[in-house]
Amino acid sequence: MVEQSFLRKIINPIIIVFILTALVLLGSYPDFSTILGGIALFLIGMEYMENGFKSLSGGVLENILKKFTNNTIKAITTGFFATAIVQSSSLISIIVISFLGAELITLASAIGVIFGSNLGTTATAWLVSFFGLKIKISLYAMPMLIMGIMIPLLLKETSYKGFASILIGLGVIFLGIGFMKEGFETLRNGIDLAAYAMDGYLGIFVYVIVGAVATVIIQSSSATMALIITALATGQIEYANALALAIGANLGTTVTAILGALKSNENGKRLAVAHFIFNMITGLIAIVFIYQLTDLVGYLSTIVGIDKESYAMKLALFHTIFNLLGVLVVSPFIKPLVRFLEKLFVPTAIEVGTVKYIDDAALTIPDIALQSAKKELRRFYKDAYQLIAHGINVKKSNIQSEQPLDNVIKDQYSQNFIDIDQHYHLKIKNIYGQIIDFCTRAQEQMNSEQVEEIYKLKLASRNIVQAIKDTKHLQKNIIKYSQSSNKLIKQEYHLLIKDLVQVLRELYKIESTKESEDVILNLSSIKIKIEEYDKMLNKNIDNLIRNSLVTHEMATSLINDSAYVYDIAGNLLEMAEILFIDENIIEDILIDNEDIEDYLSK
Amino acid sequence: MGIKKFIEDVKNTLGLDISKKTLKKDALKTLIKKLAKKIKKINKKLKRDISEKGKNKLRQEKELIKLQIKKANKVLKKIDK
Repeated sequence: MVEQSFLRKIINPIIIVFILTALVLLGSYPDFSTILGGIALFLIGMEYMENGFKSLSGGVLENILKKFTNNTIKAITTGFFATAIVQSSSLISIIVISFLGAELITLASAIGVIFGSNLGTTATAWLVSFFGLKIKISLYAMPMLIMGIMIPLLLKETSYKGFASILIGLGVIFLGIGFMKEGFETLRNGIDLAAYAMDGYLGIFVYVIVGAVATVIIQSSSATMALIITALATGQIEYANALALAIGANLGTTVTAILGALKSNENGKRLAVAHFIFNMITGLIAIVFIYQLTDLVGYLSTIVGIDKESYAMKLALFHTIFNLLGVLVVSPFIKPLVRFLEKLFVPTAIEVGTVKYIDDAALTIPDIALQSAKKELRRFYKDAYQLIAHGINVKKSNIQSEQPLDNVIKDQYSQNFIDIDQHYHLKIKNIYGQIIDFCTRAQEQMNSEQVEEIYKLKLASRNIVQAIKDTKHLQKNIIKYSQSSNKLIKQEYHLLIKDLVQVLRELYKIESTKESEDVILNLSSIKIKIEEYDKMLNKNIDNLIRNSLVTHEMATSLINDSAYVYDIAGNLLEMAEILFIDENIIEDILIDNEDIEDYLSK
Repeated sequence: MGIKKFIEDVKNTLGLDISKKTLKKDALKTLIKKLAKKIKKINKKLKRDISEKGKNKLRQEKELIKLQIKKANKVLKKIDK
């Protein structure tokens, strides 16, 4: 799966452009070709790492982001560490956007994570300046690449493949840095880029723009930072201009975010604008106070023991300081920012018959895709529940109350029965189709355990639809016999409805229960009740037929309809097992028919 | 140390991979404990002066819980094998 996703990513046009340009320049400008090749390798390495973390995390990253983001400080800290470790702010953004879509975190927390993530990206600058330049980093690349290639051959489990992908990614990134460094070093012998150095605020503005444009082209501020640091370390650019380039890289990354958000939903747009505002303010502060910040960096460098001539590390420190400053300045305004963004991007009202929680943004991360599908399915179930209740002309609110069942049936939903078919086409069919489509597409990125889970969700949605269709069949005779002059058949249909209402009431209790033991006991209890009712109904039908108390037609209808009720209950139960039982408690835990026989015989 | 064990150790240290089996076992054990508590509660209620109808209902509930505990233990044994 990792490979599939990687292949899709490698067709990324930017990487292709870099590779092709490197090839074209290979003959006439080998130094530039090496630098471009280095950038391409850096980007490929980042894709590998991102995909590796996606498949390795097994929900850990998602769980951390979900649990430790309930206040601004936690959200920022989590965003910082997650990005510093994963080395990909875009992966964190994807997770956060899909969390927002599935309503797993608030917008304020998501913004906090994004701010922290911005700070976390400065780790790349430290990595490159500390390891990439002091030691021959490409030497470490080979063992990593070999290990990364060997692991999937030796160990077949998917999670190891993720681990292998991270190793390969790091190896390729190291190779990329090595190439960039080598390219700049040899370039120094021919062209001196430092000759284009500019002083003063004009130089700052020009280099900020260059940094921003470079990031927009490369589509990765980390890669731009790696490029700036290697150029600085080899003396191809001056320190002051490198600082301006770093600010530009920060600004350029927002363009990438905005472009990405154009196709996104309102959550993606809100986050992209928050990111944009943050980077603009941070960039502005950095430009205005660039000289003071440079002095601060110089002062701090002597304290932490960074060599006076070690400009690459000083640049990394500058990058961290101005991003930290941005976090400190903007974070206190997260709440008003949330209010502004919520006004700016108002979600379009969810139309009847459309999905709410499943979104293409969730497709790339299997655990989130699963959670989103589950949430959508629960919403779908609620719509279906209402349709079934109204289909048998009973008010949902009455079912979910403590009223005696006879009263619930008496207080009809409407004078005329609703048209289930019409409601099915209006509210259900499209959602069902979209859930199945989403689950099928999500499967492509999943491991076997996740595929099994998503398959169950598909089954549950099928159960729901089947229950609705059976209700439609049942409704015909309910309408017919609830008006019948034969009191006995009328009574039997009353019992059938009562049976179904009882099931719906129990399901409501299960849905509202949080304790797993209560969910299981309630489900088992419904299973027993369904069997009891079915037996009782069959006895009644036998009695009615034997004593010629109903016509043949009535008897046949009653037999068929009791089977429909039995099937509706069965389908809803199967759905509830999948949707409401804690996923760690396997389905074997519920009592089966044999147990029910045992229980009933006691 | 083999590669597999090394990776396993790293993953355990980082808390990256708590096995499904452990999660299931823990969930089942907690479930059994909670069900046993329910039985205790029912036993207490049964000792009180309540109607025969009420007692019958409680007995049925107790039977179901017992059945569920039996099932859970069976599944637990299956996982341990």
